[in-house]
Amino acid sequence: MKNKWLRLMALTMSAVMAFSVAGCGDKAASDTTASKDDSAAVKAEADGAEVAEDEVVTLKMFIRNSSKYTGLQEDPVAKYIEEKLGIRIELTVDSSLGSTTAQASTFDELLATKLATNDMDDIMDFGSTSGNPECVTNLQNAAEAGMIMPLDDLVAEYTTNLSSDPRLTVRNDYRRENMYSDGKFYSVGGWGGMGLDQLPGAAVWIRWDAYKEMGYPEIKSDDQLLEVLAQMQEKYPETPAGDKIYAVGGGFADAQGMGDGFLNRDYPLTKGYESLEGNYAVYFNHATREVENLLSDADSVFWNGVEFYFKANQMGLLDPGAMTMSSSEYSEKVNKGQYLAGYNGWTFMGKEAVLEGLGMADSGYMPLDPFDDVESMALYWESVLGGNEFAISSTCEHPDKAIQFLDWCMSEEGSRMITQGAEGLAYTVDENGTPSLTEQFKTDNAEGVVDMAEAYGKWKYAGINAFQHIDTDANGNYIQPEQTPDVENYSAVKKDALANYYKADSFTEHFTTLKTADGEDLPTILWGSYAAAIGTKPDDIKQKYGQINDFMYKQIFKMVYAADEAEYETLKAEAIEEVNNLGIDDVFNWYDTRMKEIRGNLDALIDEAVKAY
Amino acid sequence: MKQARVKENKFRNAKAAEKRKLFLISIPFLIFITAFSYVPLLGWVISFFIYYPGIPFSKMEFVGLKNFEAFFYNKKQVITVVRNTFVLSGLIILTLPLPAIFAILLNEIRNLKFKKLVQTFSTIPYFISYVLLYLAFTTILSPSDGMLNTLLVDNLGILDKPLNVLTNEKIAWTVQTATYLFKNLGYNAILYLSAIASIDTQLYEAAEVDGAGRFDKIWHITVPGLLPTFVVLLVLQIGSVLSGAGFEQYYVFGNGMIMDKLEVIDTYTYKMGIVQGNYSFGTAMSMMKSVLSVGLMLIANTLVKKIRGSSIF
Amino acid sequence: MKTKKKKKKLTIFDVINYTFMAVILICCIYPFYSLLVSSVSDPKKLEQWFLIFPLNVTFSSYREIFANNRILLPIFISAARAFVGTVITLICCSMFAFLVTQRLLPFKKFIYKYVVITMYLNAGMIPWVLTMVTYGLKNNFWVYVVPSAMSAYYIILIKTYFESIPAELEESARMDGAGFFTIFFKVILPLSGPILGAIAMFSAVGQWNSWYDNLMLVQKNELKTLQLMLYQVIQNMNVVMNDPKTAATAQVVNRPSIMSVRSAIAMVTVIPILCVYPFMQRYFASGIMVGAVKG
Repeated sequence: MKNKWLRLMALTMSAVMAFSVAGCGDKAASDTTASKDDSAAVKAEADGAEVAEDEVVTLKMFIRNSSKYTGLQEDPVAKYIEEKLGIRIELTVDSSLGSTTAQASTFDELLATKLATNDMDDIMDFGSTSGNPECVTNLQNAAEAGMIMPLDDLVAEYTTNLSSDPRLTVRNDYRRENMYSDGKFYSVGGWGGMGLDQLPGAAVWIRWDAYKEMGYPEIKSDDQLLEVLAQMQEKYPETPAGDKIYAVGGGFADAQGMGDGFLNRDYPLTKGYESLEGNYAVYFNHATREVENLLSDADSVFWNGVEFYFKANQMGLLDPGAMTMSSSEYSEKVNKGQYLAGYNGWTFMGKEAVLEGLGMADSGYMPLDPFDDVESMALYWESVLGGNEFAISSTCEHPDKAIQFLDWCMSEEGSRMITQGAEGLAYTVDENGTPSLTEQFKTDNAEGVVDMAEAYGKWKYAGINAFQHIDTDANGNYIQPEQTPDVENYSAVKKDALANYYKADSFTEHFTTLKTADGEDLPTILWGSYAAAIGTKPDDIKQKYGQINDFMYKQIFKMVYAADEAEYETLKAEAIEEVNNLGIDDVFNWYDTRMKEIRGNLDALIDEAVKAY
Repeated sequence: MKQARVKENKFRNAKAAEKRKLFLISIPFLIFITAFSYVPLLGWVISFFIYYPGIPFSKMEFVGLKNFEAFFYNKKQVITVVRNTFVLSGLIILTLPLPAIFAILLNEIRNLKFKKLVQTFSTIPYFISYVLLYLAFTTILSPSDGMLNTLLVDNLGILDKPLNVLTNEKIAWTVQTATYLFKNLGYNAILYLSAIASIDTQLYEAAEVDGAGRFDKIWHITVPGLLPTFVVLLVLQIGSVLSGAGFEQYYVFGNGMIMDKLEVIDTYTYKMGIVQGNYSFGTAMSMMKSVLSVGLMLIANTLVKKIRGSSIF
Repeated sequence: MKTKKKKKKLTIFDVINYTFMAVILICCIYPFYSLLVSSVSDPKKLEQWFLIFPLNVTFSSYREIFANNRILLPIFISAARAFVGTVITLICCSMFAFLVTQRLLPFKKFIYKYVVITMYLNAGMIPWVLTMVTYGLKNNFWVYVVPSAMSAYYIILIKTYFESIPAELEESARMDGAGFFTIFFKVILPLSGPILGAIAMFSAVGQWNSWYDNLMLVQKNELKTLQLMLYQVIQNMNVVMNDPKTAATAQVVNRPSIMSVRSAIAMVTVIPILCVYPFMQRYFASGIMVGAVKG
């Protein structure tokens, strides 16, 4: 007995000692992909890198990323930056933070602790203004407390893009005038521009091979859609694997903000209405750029959406398990081809290969043309002022290098490399400046075995680049060459839709020339900058819309699963009355006033900036 | 006489020395507890201010009890939330004897291999995260393709419409309690098993000699052996009434249709915290919950002491 | 010590008991078995969760976790913190619990209350992180094992157990001139197998499963715990499989589904615990206290 305890103690002691050593040591992460380094280095040299060995500086960065490891980074993009700018990237956080909106709060928490403990890294990502309204407050406090540096002088002295590219200077001006109160600006805006989606995600996406077989019946209203779906569900009751097929489904079990997103966010967005900050009380009409109160109007598009799901349930088109499904379960079912249609294109796009693997060849989903009540379509993603905020800590020893790094990320070349991967490796550029993907990249990308972030540097640092992957560069090419439409290699459903339904030469051509039911041009811009500029709200407004969101979250599902129309109408009347009692008018008025204020401040700036693209 | 007094003094000195020694030994522990459990409480002070990370203390705006009042903004909702919390926690407290009964029954199994097998696997649900557990439940209970409903509706034709277990408001409380039990029964039983293991086996032999049957032995030896542990856990559970089964269970299992029955203090303050967007509110809620829990525990302790004569302290 | 065991007949009670236990066994094994099966099934064919036999056994989910992830070090770190943390916790909690059972301890009641109350005190995330950073518990291994050294819950349970040890044992040791530490190590601990085994189990599992302190306080790759790494695997998969910005469609086809990876992760977490179990179980066996008073 005694011996056993002694042995145990000795073991513990040695283990403890081993760990104090290991824990205090400072080993760098070493994940070298040696063969890939060469081409990046070659490219850098060809660019005329004038960096001497002793000038290489390590910058610590707290930026959201897709890297598996913290510490010094060794991927091709990082290597390129080291060669060209003499900067080594050291990440203090890795992708365990998560990248979906659900996990955004982890990032906010970690950022809060860093600010609270004054643990500032050279380059600090403060998050996105649209994701977190307190982001601006954090920035302002940090600036006031002297934790981050003013950038005006640095930008003027050390940068090329940030100081002269009009698309970027407008972002700096915006911050100087609207975010900070002392006439300087302390952060630069990444991830912005005027991105162009090939296909509108916010539209009704439908199982195309089935739709084709039915002869493309006209669908211009919800009722027509339900009819067509009913027929479709009858014709296709099961997948080849034996899973039951339903027309529509949902991941309703998730918490408020996610589970109800199908009705709160997706449906209204297909009509051109975006719920501001996820609130039921206020919707932003992207056609008129005005705030509207859709709940108090019994005939608004919001209620049409609820009614759609109600009718679908009555007709047996809604997956009865939707109420207990989480969104990940829903995605899994989509990946198994169990649904025929949906309002969120991003869940349904690009499923051709997956469906083929399940035995459904030449299958896929494509968007229908907008219904009669659609007021605007989200094709262009406007965020000319940049959404992600990046600042330089006052403790940074090499602010000149830091701003040069940011400057590179803000350039077109930088944005391209960050979203696609190192040049020479992932893509090559010809004399005209047109980029094209390398064969090796295409093979690796398609196979799905290679870790693209480590092997090519693809998407590893996404978020810090100035221009989104779907923006276009000065020559009109997509920032991310992967986005370039490859018409010849389109999948069967894409070719079919293009030829027989849209009847156009390209998707963009078709969708940018659509007309509304009144014969006017259909607006195609989704405005991002207005929502991002809202900022903090007074406490009582927060309480009110919090209560409204809570209430609606419960009410809409009761309505969707109502037993009959009578119950549905009762619940609807109840809802309209209740949100009135909870103060929806106050919330609306506040947002309305604020939005008019924002538009007064920013319209000129934004319209100018949009022209620069 | 003198000898006796010398001896007494010696005894008193020895006692004092022992007291001193014990106190000295306790000091490092107390320092540790203070450092790790009490010092962070200084952070509670931000409950009375509007706090944003990074701003210096001098610049914080004093708001008194406003952060606490924010919780009570919607009185109707707060009443529902508090009701749910107490009902759910109360049901959990009612099921407290079950792990003990399980441990006793398990102890009666004579086949050692089977006993170990059941004991090991009965703790497995504890290790499976709530997210996965929820997935398991939906696989069985989902109205569209759940195992149970496929069996009852499609295969056997007993029912016309599928059972709606996870979205049915009326049985929501029962389902939650059953879930809690499923997850925790085996794991909590470990404590009772170790308590049973510490009972002197000669007591059982002596009882057998006296002609006691199996149930007599359980009632007169095992149960009293388990009682101290049970009482302690009972008082602690009463102190945790405000938490119930824990935030995660209610968050994962909640959905729009049963929210009215399932929303507890933890999930409610979590949601409000996101809406409020500042850390002062969250801290104020932590503070309120901590203080109330300690109060509840002390009250439970006093009550149990009156009934039983002894309790945690 | 040896008692004659008569062969007892099976009573009705026994039959019911065995059946009841079998039912519980099945209920508890089912989710575990299901996870096991779904973690090795072909993800494309994985329709439902309650398969009896795996379809097209494939280890692609495990490959997803183990390949490309340098997972051995996190496993080691998690195991290390489970071991070291548990030893530290056991020693500190049991010593303090014994201390509090001593009649002669001054302010005994206050000290005990002082510690027990901490069970319900929650300071909030930012104050907690601030404190840890102030103490220098950042980016090193001690973060994992030091703060958990004293846990009010464990102390209460151990103390309750100690109180069931007959007082005569301690008294007779004291008569022989033994001091606090001698009695603790030589008399009390050897008799505390059951409770120490139970607490060791709780503590080790808690250490094995924790990841939040890693996320907030430790950035070094070498100190990453298994749970955080597994959490990260799911995050990365979410990005690859579901985020249309980054999803290369073929990657989705060739990769296992998130469900099967989740199942594999559950297996990787649970199986080591099950392996440690048999070692701990003998502490719950009765017979430790036989004739203790007389001896």
